Amino acid sequence: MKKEELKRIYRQQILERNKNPYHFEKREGATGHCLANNPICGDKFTLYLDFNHDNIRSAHFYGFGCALSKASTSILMEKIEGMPQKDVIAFCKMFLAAVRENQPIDPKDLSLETLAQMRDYQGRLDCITLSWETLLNHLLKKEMHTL
Amino acid sequence: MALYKNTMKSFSLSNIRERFPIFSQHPGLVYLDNAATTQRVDTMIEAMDTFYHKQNATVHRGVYELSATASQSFEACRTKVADFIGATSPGNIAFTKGTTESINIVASSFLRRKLRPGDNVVVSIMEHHANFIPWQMLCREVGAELRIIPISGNGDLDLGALEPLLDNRTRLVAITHISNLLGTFNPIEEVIALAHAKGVPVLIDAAQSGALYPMDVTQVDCDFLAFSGHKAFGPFGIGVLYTRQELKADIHPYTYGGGIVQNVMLDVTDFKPYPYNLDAGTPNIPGVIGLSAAIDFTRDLDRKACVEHVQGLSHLCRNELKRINGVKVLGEPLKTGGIVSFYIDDIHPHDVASFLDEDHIAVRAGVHCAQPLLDHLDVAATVRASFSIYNTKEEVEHLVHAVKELIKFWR
Ligand SMILES: Cc1ncc(COP(=O)(O)O)c(C=O)c1O
Repeated sequence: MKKEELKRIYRQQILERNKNPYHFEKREGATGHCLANNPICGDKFTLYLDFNHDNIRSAHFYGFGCALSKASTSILMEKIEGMPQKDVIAFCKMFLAAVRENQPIDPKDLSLETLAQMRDYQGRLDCITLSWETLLNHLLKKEMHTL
Repeated sequence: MALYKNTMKSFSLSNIRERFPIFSQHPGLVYLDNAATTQRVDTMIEAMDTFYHKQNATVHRGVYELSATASQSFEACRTKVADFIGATSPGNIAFTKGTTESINIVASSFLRRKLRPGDNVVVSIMEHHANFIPWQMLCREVGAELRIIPISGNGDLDLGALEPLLDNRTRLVAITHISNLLGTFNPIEEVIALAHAKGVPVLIDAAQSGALYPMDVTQVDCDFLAFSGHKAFGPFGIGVLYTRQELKADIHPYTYGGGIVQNVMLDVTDFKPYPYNLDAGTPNIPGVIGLSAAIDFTRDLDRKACVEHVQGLSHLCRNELKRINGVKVLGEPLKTGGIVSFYIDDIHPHDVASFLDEDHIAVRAGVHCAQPLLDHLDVAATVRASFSIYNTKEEVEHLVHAVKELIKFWR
C-alpha cells in the first residue's frame, strides 16, 4: 500500500472514528460484557452489550487501542445495535471472512469495505479483527450455554 | 569513523553497512528494530551456507571425517564463546535455543531442586517476560516469593532497594544487563556484589548487551549469563548459557534423549556432566557455526568506537524526539544502550509504526514483552527505536522528520 492510500483510508474512515468513536463509554450495568485484549500490542477494549431478550438493544465500548482497532470496534458497535444475536453472529462471520479470505462484503457497505481494505496493510489484521473475533466467540459461547 | 579494530583495513561506517546483505536488497530500509533482532553479517551467512553445502554432517556421532570435522567446529565455537565472554573454560558454555531457553534451563534444571516454600527469588521490574515469567511460575509452583527491585523516576534501577530484599532465604537474583524497553544499563557489578555478600547467585540476562557490550564474566563474577545469537549479528535459534565452574554440577538435564547420556540401564540413566547434559537430541550445528562467524566479526570491531556511535545515535534520537510537542520519551536513565522508547499523545504506537513503515522505517510498537514495566509506568504501549552499528545519523533525522509529519497529518 502506498502512503497516500494509507492516508486516504485513515482520513475517510479512521481518524474521525478514532476521535469520535461511537458509544465510547463504560456501561458497568450492561447485561453482557467481554474483553477484547491483544497482549502483544497492548490493545484492550471492554465491550458492553445490553440485551433485550435475544436482541442487542445497545452496544458500548471502552478502553485503549490503536486508531484502527478503535475505529473497527466503533463501526461494529454501531452496526449491531438492534440486531438479533444470531444475525450478529452471521455478521461477524461475514466480516471476518471478508478480511481474512477476501470474501465479498454483504450487503455492500462503504465503511466496512474501507475497513476491510486495511487487510492488505502488513501486520494490522489483528487490529481490525480483534473486537469482531472477541464478540463472535462471546456470542457463540453464550449460545452454547442457552441451548 | 573507523569501526573496526584492524586499522590497516580502516573500515568506516559505510563499509560496515556493506557487510549486511539486507541493505543491498532494501537500499532504502531504515532498520531500527535491532533490539528485537539485528541484521545478519555476510560472513555469518556464508559460514552457514558453506556448512550446508560442503560440510553437512551431525556432531559427536559419526566416526567418519565429515562428522569429525563438524564436531571440531562445534567444539571450537564453545572455546570461542568462552574467550569472547572471558569464561575460564569452554566447559562453562552451553548452547541453547536462545536467551529464553537459557533462563528456563536455570529455572527448571538448577533452581527448582533448591527452592523451598518460603524462599525467594529477586528480579527487577524492568525484566523482559523471558526473565520474569520463569521465576514467577517457579515461585508459584513451590510457594516461594518473587521479590521485585523497583526503579527510580528516571528509569534507573533503585539499587538502594535491593539490599533489604536480600535475606537468608534468597536463592537467586536474576536481572537484565540492559532494559529492552528503556535502554537502561544496570549496575550489575554492584548487584552482584550485594547478592554475593549474602551468598546469593546472580543470573544476568545479556540479550541486549551480548553484541556490543559483552562482559567479562570472570571479572564481573556473575554466576549465570544468557544471550542470543540473533541479537548479535548471528543466527536465529542459537543462544548461550554460561555457568560458573562451581555451579556446573548443579545443572541437571533439561530435556531427555540421546547425546547426553553416559550409560542407559533399564531402571536408571547416568548423564554426562554440564554442558554436555543439555544437548539432548541433535543440536543446532549450523546455528553454532553461524554464531562462531558472528563472534569473529564482533571481535574485530573497535568496540569503543561502535558503542560511541550507537550511543551517539540514541542520544540524538532521544533529544530530538523530546523536543517535539506531544512526544514523550520514556525514562532518562544515567547510562543507556541504543534503545529509545516513546509515544505520541493521541496516536497509538501501532498507527505510528504503520505510518513509519510507509517511510521504510522499521520500528517496533507494542508492549515489547515488558508488561510489568509498562504497567508500572502506566503506559499501555510504546514505539521503540533501537540502533546498531550500521545505523546512521541521517536515519535518526529521517525518523524524527517522519514523526513530525505524522503529527501534522493526524491533528
Ligand atoms: C532483555 C531481553 N531478555 C530476553 C529476551 C529473549 O530473547 P530470545 O527471544 O532470543 O530468547 C529478549 C528479547 O527480546 C530481551 O530483550
